[in-house]
This record gives sequence, C-alpha cells and structure tokens, in this order.
Amino acid sequence: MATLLFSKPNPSSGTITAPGTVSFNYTISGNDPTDVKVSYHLNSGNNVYFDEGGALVKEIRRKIRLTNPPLPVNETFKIVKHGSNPDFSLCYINIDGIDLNNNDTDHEVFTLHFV
Amino acid sequence: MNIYRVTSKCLSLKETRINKPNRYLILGVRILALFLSLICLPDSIKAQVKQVKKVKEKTTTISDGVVIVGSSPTVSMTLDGHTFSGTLPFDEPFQITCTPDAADAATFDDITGIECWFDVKGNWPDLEKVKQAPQDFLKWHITGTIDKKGKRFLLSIPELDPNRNYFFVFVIKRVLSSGDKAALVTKLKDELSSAVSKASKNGDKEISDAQFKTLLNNTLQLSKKALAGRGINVRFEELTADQLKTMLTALQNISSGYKTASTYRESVVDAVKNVNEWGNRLRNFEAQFEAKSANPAADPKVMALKAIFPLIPSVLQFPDGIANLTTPKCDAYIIACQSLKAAVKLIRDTQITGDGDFNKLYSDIEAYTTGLLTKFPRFVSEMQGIQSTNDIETQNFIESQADVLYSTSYVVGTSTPGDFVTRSNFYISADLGVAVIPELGLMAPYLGTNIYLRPVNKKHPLTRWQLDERFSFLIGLSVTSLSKTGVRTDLLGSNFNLITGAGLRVADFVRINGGAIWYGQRAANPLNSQQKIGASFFASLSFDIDVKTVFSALFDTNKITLIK
Repeated sequence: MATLLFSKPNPSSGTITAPGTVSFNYTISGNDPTDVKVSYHLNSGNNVYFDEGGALVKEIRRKIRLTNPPLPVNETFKIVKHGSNPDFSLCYINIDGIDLNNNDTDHEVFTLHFV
Repeated sequence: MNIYRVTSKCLSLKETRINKPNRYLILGVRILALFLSLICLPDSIKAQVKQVKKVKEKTTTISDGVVIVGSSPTVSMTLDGHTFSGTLPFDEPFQITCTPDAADAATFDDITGIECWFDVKGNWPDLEKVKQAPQDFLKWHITGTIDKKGKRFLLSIPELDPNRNYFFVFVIKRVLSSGDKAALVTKLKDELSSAVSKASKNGDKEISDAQFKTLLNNTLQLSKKALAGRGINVRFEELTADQLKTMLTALQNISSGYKTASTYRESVVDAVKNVNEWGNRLRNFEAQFEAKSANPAADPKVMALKAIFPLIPSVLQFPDGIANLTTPKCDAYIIACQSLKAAVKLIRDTQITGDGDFNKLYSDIEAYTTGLLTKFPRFVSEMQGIQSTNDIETQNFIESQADVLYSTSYVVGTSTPGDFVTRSNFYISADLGVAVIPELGLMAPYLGTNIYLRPVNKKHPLTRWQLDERFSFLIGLSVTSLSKTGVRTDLLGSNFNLITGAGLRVADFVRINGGAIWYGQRAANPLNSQQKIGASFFASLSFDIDVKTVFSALFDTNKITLIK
C-alpha cells in the first residue's frame, strides 16, 4: 500500500492582479487504483474568490480516479477580489487531498501574491 | 625692546617741523626705511608666521571630484573620543577632518555621508534630545565631504565667534558592516519570526494587509531597538516605498514559510489521527480475537496483537515545534514508526495469516506509517527551512534600511584661544605709525601697542563693520624727540614720549588713531627749573607691524640699503 502524496506545486507561487488567472501543476501519488478527492480552497476571511464559471466560490472540489500513479495534474483558476472582507495582498490556495479508501490525506499550498 | 632700540637708531630725526617740506620727505623716507629694517629683525614674528603656515592645509583634491580651493586651518577630531585636536579657530573659516578607525562605532568604510549641526553651547536641559534632533536645537548645518582616497571626511566650517564653547553634532550616514549585519540578524531573526508566527498563529491564519502594516511597524521598532544597541540610529520616515516593500516582502516570505510548514504539519497530524483511529480498531480486533480464544493468556496470536499496543503511543506523539525537532528526537520518531509497521507486518506474515480483516488493518497502518515516514521528514525539513528563510529575510529586512541608518557623535569645542600667553597674542598687536600733533606743529613716528577688548584673528580679513574687531586702545612711544629748548623735554630718555589713545582698524593692516602724546613741559619762567607733564592731542595713521612681510617681498636688502 502506498500513502497519498502530493508533490509541491510548480510554480509554488504566483503574482497576479485581480481579476487574474493562476496556473500550476503537481502530481498525485498513492494507491493504485484509488479514488482521491482534491479540494482547492481559499481562506474564508479574505476577499479573494475563485471565479467558477461566473460563480464566486471559496472552494473547488475534484474527484480523481488515481491509476498508474503518479498522476500529473494541471490546474488553472480565475481569481477575483470581491466583497467587504479585509484586503490581502498575500493569500494561499490550500490543496487538500484524501484517499477515499483509507482516509489517508495530504496537503500542499500555492502562494498567491497580488499587486 | 630690541625693536625699539634699533628703530631709534634708524630714525635720527630729532625734531620734524611741519612747515618745512624737505623734512616731510626725509621723514617719509625714514619711516619707510624703518618698515624695511623691521623685515630683518624680529625672529619671534618670523616664528609666528611659520607656525601659522604649519597648521594650514593646502589645496586638497577630493577623490570624488570635489576640490577645496585655497588654504584654511584644519582641526582634526575623533568620533568616539568626542574631542577636537585643539582650539577651534575663530573669525576665519576652517576645516574639520576626521579619519574614523576601527575603534570608532562607524569605520570609514561604513560611512556614506556626513552632516554636521553646530551652535554655541546652550544650557539645554536634556542633551540627549539635542543629540537626537540637532536640527531642532542647533543653528548651523554643514554637509561634509567624503575623501575616499584619504579615508576621511571633511567639513568646512564658517567663521566662529571667539571665546565661545561650541557644540557639534555629527550625523554620520552609514551602512552596516558585515559584523553589524551578522549581529543584527542573530538578534532580530527570532524576534521577527516570533512576531510573524504570532500574527499568523504558526501559519494557520493568513495575515491581512492591515495586519501586515501593524506587524511591519512593530518589527521596525524591534529593529530600531536592535540597531540602537549597536549605536546605530534609523530614520524610518525616510524609508522609500521600495524599501518598505522589501521589508514587507521579507515578512511575507517568513509568513509563507510558516504557512508551508503548517500545511505539512497538517499532513502529519492527519496521519497520526489515522494511526490513533487504527489503534482503536486494532484493539477491537484483538478483543474479538481474544474472545474466540480458549486460553487467551497462552494464545500466541493474542499475545502478539497485545504486543503491538505499547508501540502505538510513540507514533502518536511526534516531535513538534522547532525546539523539539532535534535529530535524536526525529530519528527516534522515525524508528517508532518503522517499528510499528514492522511489528504489524510480522504478525500478518507469521501469526495471523490469511485474515481479511487483519489484512485490511495491516494495509491501512502500512499506508499511514509509510505516509509518516515521508511526511514527517518533509515537515521537519520545512521547519528547518524556516530557519534559513528567517536568516535570509531578516538580513533583507535589515539591509533595506541601509540608506536611513546613521550614527551620531558629538564634540564640544572651544574658540577661546589657549592659555594666558597665547590669548594675549590675540588681544594685543603692534603698530608702527605717524602721529600728527597740531598743537605742537609736529609729526612724530611711534611704535604702538593696540589692546583689543576681544581676541582678534588678524588672518581674518575685515569684511564687516564689527566694532569690536576694529576698536582698540593704544599705548606706545614716539621714537623721535619732541624736545624744544626751554619749552619741552622728552618724557623718557632723550627721544621717547608716551602716546595713549584709541583707534580703529580701517583695513586689515591700517589703523587711524587719536589720543594724547605726553611729554615734559617746562615752566614759562626760565628761572623755574621744575617740569610738569604736558599733553597734546594727536591723530595718527598706523600700520600693523606684521605688514613688514609684505615689504620683504617688495624690497630686497640692496634697496633698503639704498634708501638708508
């Protein structure tokens, strides 16, 4: 059996002017096969949101069938600033994964700078 | 006295009457001869001139392109010694030079600029305030020059008043030496990281811009305190937007380090929770297994399962916090994880084979412990990386303040010129003059002593009508006889009469005077041999005796002899 393991995102940080897009990729290792739930979420206390097809959300979830690991993952997110929450010029996209077969988890983080 | 004797020999005129033009000519020639004769005589005056030249600094070319033209007296100073090399010149511009050395708080290589504030020393209740904000207390401000070639700095100081104590504050713009940087990084890195860690709750919480602003202000105060501990001041108000951005970025990078470490810690915490949950499931499994056994106390499978339980707590307590992440503790934790994994595998392979439920338990613990063996070192590595990140970012934080760092030094100097004898040279000067005595119808050359009410620096050209620099009392001796048979006699010896009065310098070396000339007054009755002292008003024009140096350049010995 293998443990669920994310590689460090590449790049590990990005600088954007909101609204803007960030892209990174990483790999997922773990049991073969297994189902992995991956969520990307932003801190609820800031004014930063994902623009998911026009909807402003704090979390985006993916369910991935992991076969032949490591599995490369490429993600691109549109980021916007909205609302009256305090402004942050530095925030993070938290990448959380869980192996749905054994509750094994792993976490990574992508650093987001705003100019 | 030598001067007077020789002068009297040179002037052989016994009496000069104003109504005889040929005698004016003779008198004028002889006065000129007197000036020229003085050139050859007073060694003491020559020595004085040499001394002045000795302390002068000739034209100095500064390596950064600034050229100081001309010559001026120079006073050197020490930064940490708070002393000048001597008395400050007055009434003339002068230079202050300083060559900082290793003993000073700021060595030459640390210095990027120098500014000086000074004023007459006042009775300030808090001298520290004056040192910290000299611009608020001291009137004069001078920007100095860096002499890279000479490894010194120079300041051109304008004329000071005599007999004053001056307070100088030198503000030295500087950078940090490598020693300063290392000491400050050591001092500040824990304080900065602690402040960031506290604000971000060990990386669990993001820091808003408003919070970063507060954090920056707080850390600037920490920095200010650390710098002050090394005798370095900082002007945060002069920080540019870019410098502040650099400092903010340093704090953000420290913050991001904590965030990443916190993220990896979360993976370890999750794995530990899973192991704990797995331990509970194992206990249930063991209880069920034990219930099925006829003699659990002697059942090797039950005993093997129970042997696992003591291994679990060591896996649940992972070293946390940088202070606990020592190599021995981390190694011990890795061994604990490996031991648990190996023990479970051993049971599965030798004691409880082919049991589906136990196989699932084994599969899970293998995944969790394998995860810990990967994720715990990753967490440790990130935590240790925070230390190097903190070092680098603390250094960036400190270096971004380089342009606003300064050290101050103060020096109290006096423009009171030396001891009693030295001071007397500045209060007294000698003149050679010609007095016109209307009442007697005579002209008389004289040697006078001028007594000022304040020290006068004759090297300072007269440019303003400052009365105290120009006015002096006069006392002297006329050097030709005023005697007239049956009417007057000379007061002193056969040629000399007393002159008293006062005068004003109208040019650097020219003076007009007035006063009384005193002589012996015979009684009108020729049978009365008693003599009284008589006085007559005179007006005179005189030349400073030092002017003879001018004549020395104009006339050679042959010309003087010819005139004689």
